Amino acid sequence: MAFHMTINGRRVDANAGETVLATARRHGIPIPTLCYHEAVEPFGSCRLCMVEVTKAAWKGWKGLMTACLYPSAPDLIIETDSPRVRQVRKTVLDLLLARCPDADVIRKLAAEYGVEQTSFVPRENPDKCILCGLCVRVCETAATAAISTVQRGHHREVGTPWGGPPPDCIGCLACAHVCPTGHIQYSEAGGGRKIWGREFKLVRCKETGKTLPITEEQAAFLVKRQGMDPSYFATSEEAQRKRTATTLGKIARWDKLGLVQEEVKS
Amino acid sequence: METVRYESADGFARHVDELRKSRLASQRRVLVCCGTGCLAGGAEQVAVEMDKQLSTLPAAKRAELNLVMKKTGCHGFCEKGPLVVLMPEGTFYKGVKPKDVADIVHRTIANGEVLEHLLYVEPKTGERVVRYGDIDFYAKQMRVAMRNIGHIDPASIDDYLLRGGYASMVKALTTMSPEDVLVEIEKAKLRGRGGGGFDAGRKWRSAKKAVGDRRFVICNGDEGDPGAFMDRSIMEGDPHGVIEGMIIGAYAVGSHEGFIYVRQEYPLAVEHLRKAIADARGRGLLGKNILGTGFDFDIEISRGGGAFVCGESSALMRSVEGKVGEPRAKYVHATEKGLFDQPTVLNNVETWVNVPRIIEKGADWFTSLGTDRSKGTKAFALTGKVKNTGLVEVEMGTTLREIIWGPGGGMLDDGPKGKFKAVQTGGPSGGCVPEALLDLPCDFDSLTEVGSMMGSGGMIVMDHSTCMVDVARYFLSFLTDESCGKCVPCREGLLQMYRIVSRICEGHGRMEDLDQIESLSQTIVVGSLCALGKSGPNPVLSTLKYFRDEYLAHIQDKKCPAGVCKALITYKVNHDACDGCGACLRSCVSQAISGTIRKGETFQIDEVKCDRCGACATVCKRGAIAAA
Amino acid sequence: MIAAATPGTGTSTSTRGKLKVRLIVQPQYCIGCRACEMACAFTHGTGGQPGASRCVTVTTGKDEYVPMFCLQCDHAACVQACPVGAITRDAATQQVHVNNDKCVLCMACTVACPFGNMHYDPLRALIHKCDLCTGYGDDPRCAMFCPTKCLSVERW
Repeated sequence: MAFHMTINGRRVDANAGETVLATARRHGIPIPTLCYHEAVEPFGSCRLCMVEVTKAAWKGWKGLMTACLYPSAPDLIIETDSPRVRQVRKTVLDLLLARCPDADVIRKLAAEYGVEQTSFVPRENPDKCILCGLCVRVCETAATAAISTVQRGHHREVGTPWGGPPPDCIGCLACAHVCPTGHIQYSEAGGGRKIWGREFKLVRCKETGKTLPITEEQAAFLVKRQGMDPSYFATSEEAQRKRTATTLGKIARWDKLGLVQEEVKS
Repeated sequence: METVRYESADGFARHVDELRKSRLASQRRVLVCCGTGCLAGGAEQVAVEMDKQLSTLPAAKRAELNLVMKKTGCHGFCEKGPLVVLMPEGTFYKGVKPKDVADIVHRTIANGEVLEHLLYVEPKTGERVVRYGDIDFYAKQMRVAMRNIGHIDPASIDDYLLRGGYASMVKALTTMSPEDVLVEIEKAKLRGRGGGGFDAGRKWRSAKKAVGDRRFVICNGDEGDPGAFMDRSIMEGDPHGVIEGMIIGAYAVGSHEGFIYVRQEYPLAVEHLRKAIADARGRGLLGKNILGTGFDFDIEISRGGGAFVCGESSALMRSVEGKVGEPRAKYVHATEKGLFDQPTVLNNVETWVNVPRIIEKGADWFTSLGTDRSKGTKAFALTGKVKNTGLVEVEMGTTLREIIWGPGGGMLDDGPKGKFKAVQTGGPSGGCVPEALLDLPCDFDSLTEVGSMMGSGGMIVMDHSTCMVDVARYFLSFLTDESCGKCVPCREGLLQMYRIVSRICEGHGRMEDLDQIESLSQTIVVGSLCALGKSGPNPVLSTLKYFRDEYLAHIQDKKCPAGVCKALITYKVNHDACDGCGACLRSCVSQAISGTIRKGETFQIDEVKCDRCGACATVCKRGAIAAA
Repeated sequence: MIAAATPGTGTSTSTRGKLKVRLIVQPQYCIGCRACEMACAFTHGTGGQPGASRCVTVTTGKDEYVPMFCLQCDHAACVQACPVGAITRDAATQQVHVNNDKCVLCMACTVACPFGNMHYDPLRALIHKCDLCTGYGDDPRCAMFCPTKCLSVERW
């Protein structure tokens, strides 16, 4: 079911069940986000996507809502870049800069809002974690919920069971890939992968012996969780392609040599 | 012990009638307050001793007196405990020790003699008051939510029945339709007592309309505001009142499952609620086919894990679900998708306990109390520098002055520093109200208009020995500890604000700090995900509004006028008053005091070594040491 | 004529009725010039870098080559393997579509594809596969630049 709303003075169509962020992005209207990712449910923690929302019926009252969570509705009037919105974004980025002064993505975003240096007290021994929660949420959705946030308030951090290497981690690196600041570190060497203090072995192609980009634990997880035969995760992309190409080539040349009796009908 | 089970409204009425007839004989009640406050003061030992002493009375005397001793919930006069009240006379004894009990039994109970030394002294007149009902603290209250506390043994469902308990539930379930009940609550304009003040009828109506397979009613017993203990007393002292309210509410919205969320730190409340639920189930007042009406409803207790943020309704629901207590954006209301994503009504303890009374006496009675937009009464936990610390329930619209100088008994300290300075209402979400605004009515809207809020009922009275900057710092410290940490404005913003205010208290404040506080507050207020963050700046903003001079003194003069902020005060010996006794020197752990114990020689305090603990000022009998 | 094959079952099920654009591949005419790879890379904005092409021409023997692209399988292994559901059958085009905004780069799809037609571009950090140049205007470019009749386009 479609209806209309106004974003930055422009009348746009929206669908029931869409959020303001989804509607805006569909129409190419930019709204900055840090803790948003399509693979997981919106969280509303970074507050960067705040927009001003009003309706004619609200008699001039305007609310500031996070676009990632606010449902699109008929006759909404949205402003994505008003002075009030910019002020909130500026302060949020200023605060994040105090928390993670070395995170490039924060520095860049903050500069866009006029913050070159934080006006607050920087964190001592800062890391690059902005506590967007994406790693935890993705691990829950795409993998095994091996990591979680622990403690509360400014002691909050992404942690593992009893602070040790997480036993449920499958080394899929989804957390590292969705992290906006590159805070999560991992390394690969000699057919192995290291992350969160865990060590994994990459699957080796049963035809060529070369490593696949997934770990053995990840392969086992996918077999179980996605309900697929293990043979799907045992051969390298290159080997699969070579084998398929060879077979297809043979079939094509049999045809050419007239060895195939019937043509595949259109 | 016979197990009665009510299969119908008639069965219920008959049994209550029997109870009345049986208990009518037992008229005299010895009520020993065993609320948490009095227990801390030794009430358990008093009760044990009372039991012992009563059993030493000769059998004939006992029959003549026809006594029953009851351990009740919190009377609310917590600072004066342990309390013993003798009914029906209403003889009120305060500060009772186990050694006083023998006299109470043998002289007062057996002989009618009043024990002067145990009587309450009215601070204004200096007179001793005998009767409970004559004490200003009680006389100036109107107890609706707290109507039963202190009069019943919370572990006794019969006590509750004898005070009209469950009659409203029976009336609702057997003579009214769910719509009738809902309309009555809507007409009563009952607003939530947990701080938000949202219209309960409206909340119930939207939950009723919402689509879902299950429907829940929840009682928020998390009560996290420092200094608030109204809900604790109600849950401890009148657990059936809460249960009855929830049954009626569940009936109105069509819910069959209820939860009472009790904070981890209230074990006595949990114990009493558990007993009450078990007893209600036993009698057939909870469970399947209540009173043969076909209505099923039961309640489970869910315990908190020790987090203030779990008092926030969406965080509370996550906690009940077994998840981490973190709030979520409430663009989709809990009445549509709340607990387990189902329609949920969440209300505060005090809100629920008002419901049976409204059904009993009608919406018109309820709306006759209070102000235009705030109906009924409100329970407050009056603490701080007042003479009578405790629970006060008054009609909405009663002014702050009437509360503090009425039941409150006025300021605690009669000296110059004891003059009224401010009253903090609404806990960490609220703000302070200065003397000029003392005639503001206490209701949902008047206090909000001046930058404070009535909140859940916490009311902390402050005098001139309180530093308002330190108060702001305290609340910020509390909030930074309790923030869940999910959103940036609250987690990072309140932390930075706490740092700024702490710096001011330590003497390193700058004028730019005030601008930064104000601009940062704006973002925190509009940007935070939940009310903890949104209302977090209130204490700072309101103290800055009404006590800006004090902030300026800290920043510009590097002085703390109230003599609280250690870095900004110095303890000095007034040489004219000093008699050289040396008590101060002996009390100093930092060895900052020098001088020889000899008349004519006075003592000196080394400003550098002194750590501002104030011990010397306390021990000096001449009052020769003071902070400046 | 090679039509799309269903993995694992050995049958060939035509999606001809559903796909609106079809690449017809006749590997016997492939001369291994790799113009298809270049065209693909340029079209998709990767500056012609062959490693970023969605088409990969495999040398299967002396003077024998086969250009390989996504077969838009009916029951695609990649769709099933993706733990976040970032790969779906697009309702409008009926093609197997990768939503890069939803992808978390776990690489499951690149391994699961039994034909090696799902690729990871490390320079741009994204997963890609043949999209029949949907959204890039005109026909699949590889076919337009193929000098022989190896690659051709059919529209329905």
